[in-house]
Amino acid sequence: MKLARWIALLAVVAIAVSALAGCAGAKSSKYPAKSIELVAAGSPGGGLDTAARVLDDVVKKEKVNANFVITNKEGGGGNVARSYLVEKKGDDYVLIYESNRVWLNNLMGTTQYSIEDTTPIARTTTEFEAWAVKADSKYKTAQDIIDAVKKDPASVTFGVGTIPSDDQFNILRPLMAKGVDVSKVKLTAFRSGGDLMTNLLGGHVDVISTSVSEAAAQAEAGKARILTVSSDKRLTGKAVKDTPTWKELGIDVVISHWRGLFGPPGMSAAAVKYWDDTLGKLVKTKSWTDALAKMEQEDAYLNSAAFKDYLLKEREANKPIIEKFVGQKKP
Amino acid sequence: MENLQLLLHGFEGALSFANLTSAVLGALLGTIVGVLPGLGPAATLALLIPVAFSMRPDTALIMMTAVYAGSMYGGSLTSVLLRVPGEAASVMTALDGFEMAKQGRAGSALAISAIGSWIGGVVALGGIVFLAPPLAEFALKFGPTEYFAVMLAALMLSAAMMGGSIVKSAIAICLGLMISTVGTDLQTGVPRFTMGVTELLDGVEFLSVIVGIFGVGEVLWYFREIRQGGASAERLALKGRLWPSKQEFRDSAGPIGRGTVIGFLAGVLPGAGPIMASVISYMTEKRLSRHPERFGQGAIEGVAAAETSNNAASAGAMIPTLTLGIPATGTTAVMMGALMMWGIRPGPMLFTEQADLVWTVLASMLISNVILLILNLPLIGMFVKILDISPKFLMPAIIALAVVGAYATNNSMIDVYLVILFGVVGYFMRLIGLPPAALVLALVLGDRFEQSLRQSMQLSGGHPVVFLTSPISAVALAVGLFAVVWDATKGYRNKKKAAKAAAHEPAA
Amino acid sequence: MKRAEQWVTLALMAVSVAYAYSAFSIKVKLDDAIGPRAFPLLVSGVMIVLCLLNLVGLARKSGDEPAALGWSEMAMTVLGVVYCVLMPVLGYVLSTALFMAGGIRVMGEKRWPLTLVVAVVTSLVSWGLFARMLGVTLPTSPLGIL
Repeated sequence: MKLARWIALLAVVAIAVSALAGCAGAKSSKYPAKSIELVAAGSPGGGLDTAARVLDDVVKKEKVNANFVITNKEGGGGNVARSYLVEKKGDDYVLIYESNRVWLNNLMGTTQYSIEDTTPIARTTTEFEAWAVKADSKYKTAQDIIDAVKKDPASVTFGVGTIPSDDQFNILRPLMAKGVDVSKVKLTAFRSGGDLMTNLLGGHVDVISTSVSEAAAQAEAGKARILTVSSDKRLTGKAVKDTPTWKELGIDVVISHWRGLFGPPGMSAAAVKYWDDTLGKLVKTKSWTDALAKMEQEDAYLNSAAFKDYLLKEREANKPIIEKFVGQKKP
Repeated sequence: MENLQLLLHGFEGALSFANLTSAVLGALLGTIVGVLPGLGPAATLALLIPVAFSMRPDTALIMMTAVYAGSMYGGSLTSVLLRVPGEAASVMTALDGFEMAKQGRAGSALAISAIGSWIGGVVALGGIVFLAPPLAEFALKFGPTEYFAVMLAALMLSAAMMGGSIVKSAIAICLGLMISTVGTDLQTGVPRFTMGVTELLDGVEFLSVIVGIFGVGEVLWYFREIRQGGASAERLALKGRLWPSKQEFRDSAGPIGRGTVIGFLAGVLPGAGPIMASVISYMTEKRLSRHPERFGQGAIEGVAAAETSNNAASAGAMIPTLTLGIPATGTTAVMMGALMMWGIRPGPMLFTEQADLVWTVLASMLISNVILLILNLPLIGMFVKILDISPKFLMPAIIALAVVGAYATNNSMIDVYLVILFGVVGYFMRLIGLPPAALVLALVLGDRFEQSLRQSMQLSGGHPVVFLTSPISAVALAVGLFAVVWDATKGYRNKKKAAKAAAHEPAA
Repeated sequence: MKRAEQWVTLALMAVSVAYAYSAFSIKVKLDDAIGPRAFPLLVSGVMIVLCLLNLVGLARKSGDEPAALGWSEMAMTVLGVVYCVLMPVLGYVLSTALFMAGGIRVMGEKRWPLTLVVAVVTSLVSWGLFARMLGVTLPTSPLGIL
């Protein structure tokens, strides 16, 4: 087996060369000294992928000194990307775009990794959630629905995209705040936003909780009505500018379906500072606001320190719901 | 009639030089992508988004629809020539198409699938022009209850008619359902049967199962046929003609006509449109045929029905997308995502606010179907040459193609191992006569089947009566039950005959 | 064929039992109308009944020739598994060339030069098509694309 020996020899040489190259890279003090891998923890064309591509686009337009190479790691509800990030511990040249699954999957017990196994960099954008009913529904306000559910928890059917999700929290948390026995509430998952909307318009489910943009598209066509939004202040869109928030209804709940950037655990302080400076400026540019308007996303920038703080609070707020009403706890 | 005028106007837009060029390029790229397993149209479109973004919205959308149409056609190529379906919807094509290829009739099979696809696509487009609003209303009537009943009926129909015994078809179906339950449960978020493998949280990749059972399984089976003298290691297929005979054209006319209607209607229902369409129309033809025993042995009716209806279904799937702004397939979802990048908002207002754009795209669907026909009919001679390659080289290459295709789907080695595993499963299924198409159908429908049952039970508060009080559901269940009972009693009546036949029934 | 069919049916039954067993370990907290366990249990139950029916049907049949598994099927399967294991280590191009060479030999081709040429060309062409033209990331080895 001469061939095998040759392969082994070549492999050793190649590893040595790449190791040397790695050292050379690490010596350079200026960050970023090479391309940064930006991992979208979702499939091409999905929400996280689009977010990554929009960021890349804006970075190029604003001539920021950073070059992204976007890759997709969609498997295992984001867990594949999560494990990858942990493997890259201490590497300043990998970033990942993720959502609340960063703590949610851990609470669900599908991964051992949580917020602590990342370096939060920035929350960038968000979408808010809405309650929508069919245009001819007998429910005129969210209060009507809450009253009905209080009387008989099984009298109204609720639809959401997946479980667990912000869609679902946007039903359970307001109802719990009003003292409804949510274990008896009929709450059904329909997988995709499209399926969910079809079932609402077909009259198969009474109320759905979905993203504001999806609900607004149907509301503007007069096919659905939006009853509440989950933002802390009123939104500005045509279909939702007169829609009350939970707070206006006397319920202290804000649900933000955010997307954000994370580095691997143990990312250097210099790199984090670079991103705080760069992104802090970037989100004030016109290219950024224009891109967000097109994608119907709200700006939700938080720098690394504020983001970490926010994540820990969000996890605490939702923990009881997960433990009580969804699936299993960490094994 | 107003719609017809709008469509003509759309043709004016679609026939510009830039748009025609992008349709031709898209059709070519789509064909290549369709031929290679692992790269579905949805993934390709997503890769094209950055390129598309530099074009005008109508040009880019035309290219995307052409890629979609091309990939549907490309999928049938490998199904016929190598028994490797490029996607789930071409599984039924592979059953008879590959047998035809071995008999030297690959040219006929490919020509009929091209012509059938073309007719299915064009007529379905007419259906969109005239019937979109009422059909969209009809589709809304399908809630979880109705879906469950229709899928149960489809599974019962295929158990009764897939060929072989009812028990064996049912075993294949149950196996498919079992595989479909692997992954995260939608209603609770709990992982099931994942054995601690992270990648399996998203479920078992369809493509690995299909390519494994059909592609790799076929290669393994080939050794057995060589040993038993039924095949040669030197030549895969007989030399044959490139164009269907008059008799073959005559045999295909009915299946193409019925396949168009069935496919279009099934396509309107979001979800598993194309594969359900091809299964239902295949079964219909088998039932109507005077020679049902020929199905699975190279019946051109089977190829015609499957290909026509899956293409008609993908056109029908545009209806919910256009009228309600709700994407019915992964591919249409990516296209709608792309729309947003141009600041065009997908939704029910799309048809009214962007009428020009919508009709240009519809017109270009028709044009890309024509382009594909022109492009592919003369190329059949070239494609068929693949069969001249000695199986000694072709068979290992099929496995390599299956492996790289599976890897390309998710960039994950797990999918590659699954291909080999399901290759072995496919071999044993053939050995004991379990119809693989029944497994694939159950696998594709499985998740939706279980979830719609649970959704329906949750919404109704656990009353199974809903399946009988909904008229659509009641009719569907009656049809399915009738098929099973009819088949079972037929066996009872001709007990002796059936027993003899069952003793040596070849696999479907 | 009868013997083989009995064994395969028994194997399917064993799989169904294991599947049903692991269905019981799915943790459930909120009791839905139908939880995550019900459907899998139902399907595996039906499966076991069907397998029993098939076995009963087989017992009535008269047995015919024993169906031996050929070594070439097994060799090809083993090659396939080795191919999968080697791919992340050696990279796509090298492992595919090796697999192709092995596969062509198993198919009965005796001429080494032809075998190697076909193997290398197939591997490089498919790599060019997928990785270069269509932008799919394929596994690479420490040697780069090789």
